[in-house]
Amino acid sequence: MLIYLLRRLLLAILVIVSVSVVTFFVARVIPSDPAALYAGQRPTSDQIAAARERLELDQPLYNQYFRFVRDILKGDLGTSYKTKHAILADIKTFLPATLELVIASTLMAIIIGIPVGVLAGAKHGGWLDQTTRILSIAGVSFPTFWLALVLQLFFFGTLHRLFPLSSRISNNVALFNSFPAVTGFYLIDTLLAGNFIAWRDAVWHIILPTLTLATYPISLTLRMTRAAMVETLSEKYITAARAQGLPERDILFRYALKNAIVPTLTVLGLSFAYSLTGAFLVEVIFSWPGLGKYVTDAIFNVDFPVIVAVTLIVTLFFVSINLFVDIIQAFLDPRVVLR
Amino acid sequence: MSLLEVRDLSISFSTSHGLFRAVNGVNLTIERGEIFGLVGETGCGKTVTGLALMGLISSTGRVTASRLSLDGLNLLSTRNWQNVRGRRISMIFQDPAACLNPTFTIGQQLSHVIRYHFHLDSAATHHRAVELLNDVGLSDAAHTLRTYPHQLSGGMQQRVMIALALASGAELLIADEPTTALDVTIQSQILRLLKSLRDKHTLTIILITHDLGVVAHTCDRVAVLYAGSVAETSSTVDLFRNPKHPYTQGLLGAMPRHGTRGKPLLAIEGSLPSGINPSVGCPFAARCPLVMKICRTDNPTLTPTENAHAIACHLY
Amino acid sequence: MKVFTRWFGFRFAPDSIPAHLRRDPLAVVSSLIIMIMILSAIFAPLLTSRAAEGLGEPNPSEKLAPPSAAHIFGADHLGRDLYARVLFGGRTALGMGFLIVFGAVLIGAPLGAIAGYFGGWLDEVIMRVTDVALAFPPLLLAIAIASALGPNLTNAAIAIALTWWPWYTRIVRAQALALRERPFIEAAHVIGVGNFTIIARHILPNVLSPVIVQATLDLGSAILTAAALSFLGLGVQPPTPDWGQMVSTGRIYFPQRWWYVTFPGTAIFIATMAFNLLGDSVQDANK
Repeated sequence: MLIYLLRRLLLAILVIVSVSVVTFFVARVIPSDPAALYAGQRPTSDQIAAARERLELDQPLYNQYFRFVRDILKGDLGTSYKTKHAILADIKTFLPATLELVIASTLMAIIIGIPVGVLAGAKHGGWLDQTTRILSIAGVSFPTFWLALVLQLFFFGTLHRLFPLSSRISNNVALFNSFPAVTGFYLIDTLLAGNFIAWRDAVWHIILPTLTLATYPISLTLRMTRAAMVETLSEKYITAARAQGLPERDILFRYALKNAIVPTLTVLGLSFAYSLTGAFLVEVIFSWPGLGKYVTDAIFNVDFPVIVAVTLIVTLFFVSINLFVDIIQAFLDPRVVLR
Repeated sequence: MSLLEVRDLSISFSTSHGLFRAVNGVNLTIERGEIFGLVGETGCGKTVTGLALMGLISSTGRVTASRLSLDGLNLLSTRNWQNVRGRRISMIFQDPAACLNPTFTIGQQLSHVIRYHFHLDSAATHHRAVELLNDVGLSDAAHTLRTYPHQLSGGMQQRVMIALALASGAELLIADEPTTALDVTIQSQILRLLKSLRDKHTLTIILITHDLGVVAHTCDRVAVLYAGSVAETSSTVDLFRNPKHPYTQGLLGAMPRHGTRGKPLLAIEGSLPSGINPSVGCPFAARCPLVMKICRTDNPTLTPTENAHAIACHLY
Repeated sequence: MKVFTRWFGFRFAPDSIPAHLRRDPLAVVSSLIIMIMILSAIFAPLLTSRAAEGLGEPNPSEKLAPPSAAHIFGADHLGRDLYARVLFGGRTALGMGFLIVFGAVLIGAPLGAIAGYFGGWLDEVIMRVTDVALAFPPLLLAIAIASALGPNLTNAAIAIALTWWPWYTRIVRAQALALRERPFIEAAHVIGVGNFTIIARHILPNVLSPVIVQATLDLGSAILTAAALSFLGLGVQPPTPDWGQMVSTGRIYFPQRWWYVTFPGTAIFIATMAFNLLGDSVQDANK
């Protein structure tokens, strides 16, 4: 068990290091000149030279990289070329918004995808299986950004402005019913403050983005659970459990699901991580002030320190989630460790 | 009254190639407290017969019979199999490693079955689980309860399977090739365990096997199955001393034993007929060395002779 | 975005697939859609009288015209016929999808063949690199690469291909491992054929058919990912017609001018769905 976890941890560290190397060098070996960007609009050659020295771009590349790593380890993710803000502070304000969205949609994937997947797998070939097959294939085929627009058109246009189209909270609520930022998750902060008007408003705002973002993970989780259930239910230990007289409900949701959930968890972990980047598209459309908005603005301004920092942060999440999933799996199925 | 009576049991499956007849009119009578052998080649319908007795034939299969009764309970009209499975009849299978749920400990699996059937509190459940493991010859029960299936040897896994089958309080145990996947030494241990369970707990056992050696050592009575029908049934002693059906004679001839060293083993020519388009007449006709004209047109019925010996063959 | 078609593992029995697929109505429908898409991309100029607009020539007098007999999908902000734009956009989408999977196979397949054929430490190194590459957040990495290389069609395709190749490495490695034990490979080895000749002449051609099938099925996800990059402004640049970029531009006029995003968006959806449906059926047939 310990060796297994160490191996996983080692791989995770390897991934983070290689991502830092790749993104760093990709960002430095680009055609455009970071110094010129840093120096602002229409810089003189002196200003550019000054910026180059300040950014230490005249140093050898490997030196720059070690400086970069040293800064990160000190908790300094650099400053934005464009706004000159400290990137870490920016990320602290933007990250909770993205996480709130991603966690909400992953919860939806668990709540809807797993039970429906179990039932579809239990009667595979049945009507539920057939319908969910088409629906979930459609679900993974929707371009996120277009699905967002369709939902906006439907809920805003057709259903008479049922849900708001953008941002995390209404302006007037933010003004007159403000609440302190504790966790950065509005749904939690509003509850902590006992501010139910703001909570309701935040819920109202998060519904459409979550629905958009959740479509892919719900479909994926459903299909994976279903496939794993079909396979598990054909196992001999299921027949044996029936022969021992256990009721079908226990067999499905206890005996089979615990086995089927092991591969499903991998997919859930992956889709959580994918949603972090999928959220970028959703955030752009719903003007959701999260990492996605932050990074797309940075892309537009060719603001490399921001792009590199966000890539690193997301990778960190990506890797930790995979690690977390590996650990849960090892607890669910003791044989995982042996593989 | 016999414990189990099976009359004209037929089982067929609809497949993409047509209707597959796995079992054709099987008759069995099982007495309380006996070990009854069900012998035949792979594909002769032994396992399917066992599954049918548990109501575990999948939805593509169709089970018909004129009588299927367990201690007076009509299994044909059973709607609620939950009251039969485990509680009255239990079943163990060939490959114990695949039959134990890999993600639960032995203790979790045992106590789940015990608690579902007997509604005991956790202390009593634990006590019963230890008792069951001791019954099947696993002495270090406290440790075994904490292990996962993959940490046990094949023989221990099969013992655990037997404990699980007994945990629900069944009076009839269907053991489907319980020793085939095990080493020879372990095989005989498991067979001895089955015998002792029959003696101590008045368990009735249907032992499904392809191995006549297992039958000779373990069973009181035996039925030889061929292509989904009973070819011959009698007491084990009688069958080995006086095999009548040409198929049984062939099987015994193909079995190595004392005193036959140096003589060639006989093999039965040909292979099992297809269950999809069975020919008319005796299913064994095509392979039978003593085939007669009538065998190709009429299917013989199981006819009793002396000593509770019955044969389905036109020769008798 | 491509986990979906990937996840169920890969076992191949190519002979049995067509027969199974014919029995699956969804497979027939999706193959038909794919065929129509390919044909309409090839013959796009013959299918519209406004080919020039489709390729980008503005038509200011009909700015944002709603759908009508003249413009069945309406017109965009430069007055170009959206039907023509979507039609020509199909060329871009399929072309990009092809470029992506081709690039990924080009990187991934030889690595997989080498890993599977040689085994040992080389296999270990290649597979660990693959593990690491798979643990990268793909869309984000593609965003970073594409923004560094500069936004255009080829760079976007390269960026995505750089995040995709490990999947093909895994497939090819598994196949090569099995092939290595086959008599004709051993025979070639015994008569002194060089290792790389064996890989090029015997291993790669034999693993190609499952790889091509898988790559075809991945076209859907490729189109979807490419559209996402274009939507973010990191892919195809105007005036080249591209579905993702059309939705991106049309968004400004949404929801009043709903047609601008609806038709290109639907095109992405249908294209992706057709490939994913076919992929799902192939997986079913494989079981």
